[in-house]
Amino acid sequence: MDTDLLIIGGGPAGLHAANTVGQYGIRTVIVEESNALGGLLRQQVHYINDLPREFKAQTGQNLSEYFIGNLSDQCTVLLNHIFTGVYKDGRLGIANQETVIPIRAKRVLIATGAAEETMIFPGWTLPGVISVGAGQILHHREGVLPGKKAVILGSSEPALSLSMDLFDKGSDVAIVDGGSEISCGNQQLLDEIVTKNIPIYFEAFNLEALGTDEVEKLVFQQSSGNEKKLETDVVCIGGEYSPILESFEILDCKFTYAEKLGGWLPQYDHTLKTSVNHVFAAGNCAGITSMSGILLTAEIASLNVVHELMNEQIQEQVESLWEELINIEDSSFLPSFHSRKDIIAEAYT
Amino acid sequence: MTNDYDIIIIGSGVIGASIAYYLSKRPRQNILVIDKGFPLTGTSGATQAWVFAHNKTPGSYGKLSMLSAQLYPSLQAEIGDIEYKRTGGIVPFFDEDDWVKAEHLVKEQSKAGLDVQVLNRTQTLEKEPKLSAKIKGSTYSPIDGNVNPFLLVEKYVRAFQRNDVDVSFYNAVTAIDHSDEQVTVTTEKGIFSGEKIVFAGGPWTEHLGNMLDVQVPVNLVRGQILVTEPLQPIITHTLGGMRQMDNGVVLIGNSSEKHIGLDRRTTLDVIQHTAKMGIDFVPELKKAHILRSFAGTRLVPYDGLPILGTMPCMKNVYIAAMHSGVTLSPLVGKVMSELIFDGEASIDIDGYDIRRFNKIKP
Repeated sequence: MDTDLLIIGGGPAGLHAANTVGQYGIRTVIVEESNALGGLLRQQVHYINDLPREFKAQTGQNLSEYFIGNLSDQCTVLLNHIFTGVYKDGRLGIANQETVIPIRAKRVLIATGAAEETMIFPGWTLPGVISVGAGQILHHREGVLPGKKAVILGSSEPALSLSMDLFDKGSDVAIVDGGSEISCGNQQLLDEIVTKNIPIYFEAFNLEALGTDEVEKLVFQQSSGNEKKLETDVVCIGGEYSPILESFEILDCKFTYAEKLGGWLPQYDHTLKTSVNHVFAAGNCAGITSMSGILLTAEIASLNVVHELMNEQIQEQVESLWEELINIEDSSFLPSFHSRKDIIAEAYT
Repeated sequence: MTNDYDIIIIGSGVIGASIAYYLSKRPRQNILVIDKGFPLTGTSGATQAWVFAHNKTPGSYGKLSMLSAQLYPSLQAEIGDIEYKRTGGIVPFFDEDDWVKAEHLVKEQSKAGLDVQVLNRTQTLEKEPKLSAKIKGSTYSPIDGNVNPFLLVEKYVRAFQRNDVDVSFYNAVTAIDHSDEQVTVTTEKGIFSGEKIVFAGGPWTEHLGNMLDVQVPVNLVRGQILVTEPLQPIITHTLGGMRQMDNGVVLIGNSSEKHIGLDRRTTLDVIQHTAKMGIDFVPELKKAHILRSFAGTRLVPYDGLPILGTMPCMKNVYIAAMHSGVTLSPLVGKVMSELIFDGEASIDIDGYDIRRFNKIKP
């Protein structure tokens, strides 16, 4: 199989990139590991307010449907496929459970996103102990209430958002955090939590999940010396997210360490091109976590692909996209803005 | 850290680290180990780490490998658990014609003092029941085994650091100047001088030799290795091609690609070929998932045998460059330390001198 652009990952970055290059008649193949396109958009039922100018505020699920509906007939979607390696002649091996398909691609865009990290404590493998992401999938995508007595670990935005949603559906909710303050920066969400009197236990340590066949209790200690025991039927672990980097490794891209953007990341320049000439990066796997950033970087990378393959003039468009990204990040994600500037500067040294 | 040393060792893989360790047991030596990366970022961290003697020919080389394998238990007692296991080694064959070769190998190795046997299919399957019934037979030796290369190098490094050896990691050597009295090593982080210097740079040894205008007669080959998910115990011996680690992971690999240089990428061509080899050997592996693959750059002297001794016309510049560094690590550390400290090794290593290549074309 031959294609102009192979996109690894069918989440928001991959889909938006496919649509962007699709307008220029460029052939794409999207390789998606799961059984559906959309990635994290599939479980986002809330309005996303920080979308780029070209999109009106809408839910993630809406946006996902919009992207999928707009895919051109030049776009081939391979669901349940993974990128596993490179042949000597440069073709990429795309595997399903049966076989490996060699694909020759003029350009590759890696848009693999990020993976939830878990917390490990005694009892964490009991049925009923899941991640916040899994809680969102159950609740928002599959329409299943994960539990009636939920304990949410951590106070990141996704953790608090899930807490609210479960509370609104009538579940008892408690939040348990190892730190001494809320890590979520969304004040509105925080106010709601406080208004609804959802209990938050700070400085919790020595967590242990107890139960015979499934989780029944979460026990922990607090710095005050108290031991606390919460009855529960679901514990949702809200861990950090880390970029998914295997595809960059296979393609021999150089890495750089950017603590504020999630740790090890691929090196890239202002065109979102990695150290490997035909490989680009966009979205969460490049350390970009805001939805606007994910979509804008996907567009910047794919316009540069258009420029390289079709010799189209895209300079002005790209500049205005960077400007938009900088404005958004400058106001709300300043540390990540500076950290990314460092990465791009490094690509030129 | 001063800049003047008695001995400077370039390279901290299984060979450089071993030499540093054995030298550090000697009295009052100022030793520095320099590495362009960090221990285990090179070839020593990209190996199945067999300790394998029985198929190394000629017999003298087999014996050298055996002597090294015999040092492992005492080394493990000295530096701590390195997961060394004498599992016994089996090299299966699938072709009737290989009987003759196998019997020839047994004859040659037994002359050198190695316990090697030819096993027929039934005898082989008794030892290793999951091997394919399609095998015709195998060669076997109880001396073979394997080690955990990460623990091995880490324990060497800890041990020689306890013995006051200095290290300078992430520091590439850029130039070497040599006189009869002293060697000056210019690095990215400064200039060091030493009375003696040891080249133990593995695949980079050729590059080091060039700095002294000496051609080190080695080729580089790439070996790619597959890593399965952790499995129930499936093989108990070290097989010619694979072994199972303590954590259940099976390592599979027998590839050897020339003219790749230092490129350590893996390729799907070789991964697929290697997976097929694994299934040919142990059909049950068909069900196993491959989690990842990695490649290592191996060094192969033109005649396949180790290069041990001094550099031509330079009595204070030493070289230890070889394939199968994991197998040979304890012995090479010991004999090189003897050569460097006492002026003479306890076993005859003259046959491994680099000067032998004057007669050999690549």
